[in-house]
Amino acid sequence: MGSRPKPAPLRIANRVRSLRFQGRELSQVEVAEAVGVTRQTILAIEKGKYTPTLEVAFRLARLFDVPLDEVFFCEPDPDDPPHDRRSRALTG
Amino acid sequence: MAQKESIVSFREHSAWAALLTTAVVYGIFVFGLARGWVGLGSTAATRWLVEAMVLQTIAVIAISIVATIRTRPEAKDERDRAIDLKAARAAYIVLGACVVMASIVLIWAPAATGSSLARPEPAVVGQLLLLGFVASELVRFGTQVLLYRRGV
Repeated sequence: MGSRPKPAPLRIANRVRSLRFQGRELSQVEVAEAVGVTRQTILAIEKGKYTPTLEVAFRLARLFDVPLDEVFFCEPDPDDPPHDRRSRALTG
Repeated sequence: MAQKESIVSFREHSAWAALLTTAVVYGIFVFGLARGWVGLGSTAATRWLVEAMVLQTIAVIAISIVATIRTRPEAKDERDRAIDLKAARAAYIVLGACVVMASIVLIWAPAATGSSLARPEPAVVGQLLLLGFVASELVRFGTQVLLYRRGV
């Protein structure tokens, strides 16, 4: 019995920093207090060192008043051709 | 009093404090054992261990007070909890390995030699288990520091 191959880890990026400076120009402390985490966690998210839970991700999207996929998105793998990426995403 | 916003969180300061104090205090104890200043299982070694625990607790409290003055204490958030969980998992492996090794020594070493004289002193096993616990704590604090620096 063969085991299913483990999918390669997704590289999840975000636009938290740029969204912070759009419109209201929120500080890291203000964002942290609004979504209920520490300032260091916002710093870690912006640097790509931490991927938050769905709850915090949705809170961030709500705070910036944008859809979730405008805050977090998968970074394309340079070794992965676009056609393969799309078909892989559809087939899982 | 206005507190400076630090890149390093209060939790990371605490992890560093715990790691350094544990390494220094128990490092001296292990160095003492290696140099033969105290014998493993002796009353003197037990006294050293108790003194090391007290000293480490005092050092962690002192450093935590300094960290509180330098950085604003914050409640644990989801990142802190994720780091704690991963660090505890790493420490559990070390502690489990130490307990298994101590059990092997206790149960099978006397049988293998065919003599009850080979059974280690309870004080020796106790102190080795305590040192195993210290090693697991070092791994826990070290993993916490690593994950705070490198990312989760």
